[in-house]
Amino acid sequence: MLRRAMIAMGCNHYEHLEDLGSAEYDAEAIFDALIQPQIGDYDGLKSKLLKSPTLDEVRAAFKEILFGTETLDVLTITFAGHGAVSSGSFYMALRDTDASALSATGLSLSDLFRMIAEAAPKQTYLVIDACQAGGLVSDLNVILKAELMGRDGTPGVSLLATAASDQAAVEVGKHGIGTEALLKCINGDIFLQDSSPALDLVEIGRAVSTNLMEQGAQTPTVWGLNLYGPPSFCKNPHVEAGAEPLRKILADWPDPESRKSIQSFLPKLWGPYSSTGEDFDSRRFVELLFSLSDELSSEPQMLENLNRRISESFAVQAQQSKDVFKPIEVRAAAIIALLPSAKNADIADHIAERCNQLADEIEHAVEYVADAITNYEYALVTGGLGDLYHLPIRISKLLGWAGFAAHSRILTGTDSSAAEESLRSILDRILQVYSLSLVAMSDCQSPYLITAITALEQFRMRDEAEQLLGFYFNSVVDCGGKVARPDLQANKVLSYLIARGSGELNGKTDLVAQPSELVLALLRLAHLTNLGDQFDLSLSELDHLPLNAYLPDSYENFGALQIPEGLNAVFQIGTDFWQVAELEMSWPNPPIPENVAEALASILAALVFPDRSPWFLFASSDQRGVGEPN
Amino acid sequence: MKSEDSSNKDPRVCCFHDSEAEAAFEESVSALIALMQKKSRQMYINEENILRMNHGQAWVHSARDPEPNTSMHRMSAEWSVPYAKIVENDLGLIASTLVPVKDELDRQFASNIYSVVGAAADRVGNVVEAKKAGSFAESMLEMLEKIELGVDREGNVSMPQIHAGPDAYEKIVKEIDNVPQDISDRIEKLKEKKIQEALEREEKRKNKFKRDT
Repeated sequence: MLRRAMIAMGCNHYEHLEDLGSAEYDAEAIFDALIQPQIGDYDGLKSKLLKSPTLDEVRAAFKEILFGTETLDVLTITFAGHGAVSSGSFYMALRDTDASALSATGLSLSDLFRMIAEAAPKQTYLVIDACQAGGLVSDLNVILKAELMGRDGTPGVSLLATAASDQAAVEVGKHGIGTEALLKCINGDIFLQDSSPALDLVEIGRAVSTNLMEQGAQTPTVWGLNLYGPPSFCKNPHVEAGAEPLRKILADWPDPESRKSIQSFLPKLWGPYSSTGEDFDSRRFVELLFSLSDELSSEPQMLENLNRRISESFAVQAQQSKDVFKPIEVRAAAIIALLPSAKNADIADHIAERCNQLADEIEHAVEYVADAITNYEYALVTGGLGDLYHLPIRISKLLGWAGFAAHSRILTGTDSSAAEESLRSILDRILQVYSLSLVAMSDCQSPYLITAITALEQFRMRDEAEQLLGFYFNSVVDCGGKVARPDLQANKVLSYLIARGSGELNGKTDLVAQPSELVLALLRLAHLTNLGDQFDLSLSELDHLPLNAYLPDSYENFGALQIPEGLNAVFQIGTDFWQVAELEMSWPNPPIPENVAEALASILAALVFPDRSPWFLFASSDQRGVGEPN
Repeated sequence: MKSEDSSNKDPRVCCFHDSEAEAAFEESVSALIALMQKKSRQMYINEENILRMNHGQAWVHSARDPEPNTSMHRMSAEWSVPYAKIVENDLGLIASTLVPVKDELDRQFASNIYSVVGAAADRVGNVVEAKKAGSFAESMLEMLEKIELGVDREGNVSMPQIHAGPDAYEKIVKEIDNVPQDISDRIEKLKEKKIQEALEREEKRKNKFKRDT
């Protein structure tokens, strides 16, 4: 039986600070909700509600609950009241806290983390609704540097803070609005998900963030990783589980062996976690998760739960980035890490569900970008000369990800109308404003164009597909098929552009893709859309151009850095074929993914790591790119 | 107030940005401009005489006679890239943007060089006015009399260079053909003398080093 305890603190009355009106109500409301067996199921005997306590009273409560006879599985600490940042540390102000002596009279976040680390409950949830609560992020960095959270055996900690460092927590009526939003999630008034019987604080935090930002009130901070167990903050009101106590419906904690694997994994994860934002390194992230998949390959349920929680935590962290696709790339990378296990039926179902959730997010992001272009035609331009290279690639990425949402809907047999609409809408804007940026610039565009144009073909958007292919193929002919190599170093991009602009790409083998996967993709797409005859007329201008397609033996390693198996199908224009139809006739018959999940995760692998392409999307429409229906 | 806020908001959207790649591209643009500037600079100054300082903005030769205080000259050029041209993927934009930048930096560099050389010449009185001298040939003679020739690291005497604008250059080429023989002889003689003086000065300078006897 899980040991669950809670300390809820609310401070209305202050000896040295201004009194507040609703902090005690907040603490009481959260305590009352979470103590109920069918909601939070925290142990009433081990939990405490502290109204306007002094620092000594709080320390005594922590000593009793954290360092009692048994180690806790889940500890939840909530605080409502004044908060303050001093010398880079965040303090919670209690009844006897003096603003001029915060370090001596306030409860510092660092001290709290030290206590948590020493008592080591398996999972700790921290909810802070206070002025300057967002300022605790600077304190978190100190805590991470102190390696408190990076050692073996340290607990998982998730945190939700509902006021930014320069914002005052807003009180509305009886409750602070952060607490109000949290209670709505707990009570089910805000929908989070209906797939897991319990909710995690990070997913609640994401919903609270959205809710508060929509009200324009506060910018919450959500932070943390729960690695050890299933979501366990409170029961999910949107999953039918009767009036069973939460502890009964929660999945078991990992067995000691698995816990050991997770414990050794945790320190490796904090570094990438704290740098996720602008600097998300998808390769490093996927490799880390691959190592976890190896450890937990015999426990698929635990693997998918853990993978989902890591994905969610990192995606929330990635929302700090201005890039609207950053959280999407994070979630996609986490799905790719499940590819080696995608043949397992449970994991396959899980991947398919996650891909459709990702498709939702992509459809929203694509619509957002399309609206931005409608409002300002140059919305996609960053402004530097580097855009001559990067803008065409960004546009093909946009189309490719929109194409993924379409394939996800089609392959899983779910409603594809939103995906079709978002693809149509972004394509319309691009054809109107950016048609001259539909340029084959780098070989890394191959997977994006394959994904996008095969999706257009599924939706019978033949005219749009023809227009796209026309622009791309003309640019290929203009540069003699010498598109940039997919791994072109950023400091060589200018050299490539100058050479391409002056028609001097011959012999520039360090800059040019040789052979080219992109040109091969365009020729095959031309065949798919019946444009082969037209393209044939320009093939002599690409005479001698070498082309290549990497075709794996199987797709379980399709997300790996280097895939050892498989073969490269190489063709040379003017030697192996002279017409597009001849190329198609000599196309080998490579293996295709074994199920829908493997197909979808492989498309994601190609979008995140574009040195490989999802050639299986050309398979005949009755196969729809997969060996068997999922 | 609300409308002001929304009008000030950047209407561009951030998607699939690779800030590291963009920074690396900007660095390669700077490196290209620096390379073009280096080539231009080599027209004026021997690379052996280029000094690179990491700190400060002024310098002093405290072992020499007092010199006028000089400081580094900042050179700058501005360029603008029309969004419409980027969207058109016009690769000619690189040349049409960077060549004017190079030209502007060249212009500023030349202007700085001539103003520094001019100031130094003014200070020591090494100024020759063609009208006062009477003729081009006389002014050439006077110029040669006033200057000291240098000796390079290999012991070769460096002859003076003439920098002129296109109009003046054409005039000088014509005048050189018309220098009277007697002045031409005097110039040759003076040149020999100046070369000899330069070599003697160089020997004297080198003799200041301690030698193993």
